[in-house]
Amino acid sequence: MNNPQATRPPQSPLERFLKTPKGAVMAVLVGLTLVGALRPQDHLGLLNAAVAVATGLVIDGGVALLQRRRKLFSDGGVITALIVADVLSHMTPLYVVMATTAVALLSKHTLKVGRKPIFNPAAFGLLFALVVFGTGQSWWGSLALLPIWLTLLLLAAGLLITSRVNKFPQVIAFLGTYFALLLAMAFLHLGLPSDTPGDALRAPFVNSALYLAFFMLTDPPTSPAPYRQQILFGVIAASVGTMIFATSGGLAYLLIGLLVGNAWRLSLRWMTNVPARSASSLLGSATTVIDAKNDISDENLA
Amino acid sequence: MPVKMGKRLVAVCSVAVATIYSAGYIYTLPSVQAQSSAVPPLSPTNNNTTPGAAAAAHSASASANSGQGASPSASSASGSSSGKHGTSSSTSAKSGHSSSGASANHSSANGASTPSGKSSSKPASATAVKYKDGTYTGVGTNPYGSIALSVVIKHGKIVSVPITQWTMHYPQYVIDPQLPKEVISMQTWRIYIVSGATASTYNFAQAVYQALQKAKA
Repeated sequence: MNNPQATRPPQSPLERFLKTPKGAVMAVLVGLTLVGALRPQDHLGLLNAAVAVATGLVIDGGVALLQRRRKLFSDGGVITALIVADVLSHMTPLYVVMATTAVALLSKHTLKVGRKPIFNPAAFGLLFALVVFGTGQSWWGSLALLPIWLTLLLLAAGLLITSRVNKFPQVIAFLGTYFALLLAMAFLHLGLPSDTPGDALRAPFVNSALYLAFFMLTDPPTSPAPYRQQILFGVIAASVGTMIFATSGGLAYLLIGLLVGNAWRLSLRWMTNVPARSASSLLGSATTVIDAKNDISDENLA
Repeated sequence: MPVKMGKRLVAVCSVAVATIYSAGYIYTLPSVQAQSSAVPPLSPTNNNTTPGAAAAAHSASASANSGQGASPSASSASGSSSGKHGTSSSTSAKSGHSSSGASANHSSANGASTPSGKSSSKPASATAVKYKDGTYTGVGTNPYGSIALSVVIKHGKIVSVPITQWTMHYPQYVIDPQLPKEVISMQTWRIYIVSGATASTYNFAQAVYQALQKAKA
């Protein structure tokens, strides 16, 4: 007890990890995955999640080996894998789960500026899987298939994470814009007969939007930190997503909205960071771009 | 780290978002309820006054690869943003529509005997289409998941339609027990679309159709 550090209650590495944003996100996603799998039909989703996580660890571990990093365990890889597994239908073949996770993580390592990926890896991989494999997406990790009151659990978990990564302006802007545009669509009788604003405002679609807003949109490396940019990012992602929903419906509107937001953020960085623009390249550059003083993470969350 | 958004501001903004959401939810409630008891015009080939829009739209998609707005089940199964209700090229889907003649049989039977627009109508179609007694299985699949069910036939009539497997995006209660009851009531696979669960409705209709094909005498 002579040591000053010993006066503080000892913290296990797990406790310390859970106090980090990434640790909190991972714990919440694991919790949501387990709760989502309580539904008997989604028990197999756990297998998908395990396969996705294993794939993520192997790929990110391999990249870490190539880059000669000391830390081989990738928490970001696990988070991306869990999101992929939570979104894909549990009926998705395992090879598709593995391929989706692999593409998601490879996009993180290749499509980047400096150390930071341009696109949300999970959204990129899921859109890829939708286009290439025509995968079904059930968003079962958003508890969309469970009794509606469990959405409160999703909300609580989401608010916790949003607070930890300091992304409230972004989430509020996204959800506010999304719901406002859906309301406008309803007033103006816009939208497809098969994909009405009424559908989007109800389970399971609303769960999907909440899940995306809380756990994908808030990914620090692929979203801005300054509040003004957060608000614009949320508005852009929601507007693009809603526009696609109104004109095409489908599964991908939320993902595309997010990816367009990521692209907007890249353009913003390029416009506001001339030295970085000239020094960095899109593919595999080792140049570190200092995004903003306020940026939170030193590594990818997802 | 920037100064964190104040808790009070977060609360006010959250209430504002919740208010917008509630307004949208309440405003769309009548249309959702109305659509749940009526047939939305999903397909140019649909007859809005007859039951079975799901099946009709599905038939249309099998014969013509029309646009998504016209027929949700015809949307691309292989991606882009229009895949939500798209039917996959699964064997169940194909086989379910390989025989347009069978579909016509059902259609004529219903058209002749079923009062329009009422799910509680008393069907006489069972007399037009005879089924062999037994239990027959069917599967409906699209990118949004799949439904497996059994159709139990006794004395030539559908007596129960238990859903044996459910992997759709939508909760099962959205269509169960409503649609199985409709099938039993109307003695046909041509059922009403449940608003907000069109993909599930199509899959359900597809699965029942497949099972009934096996049960045909």
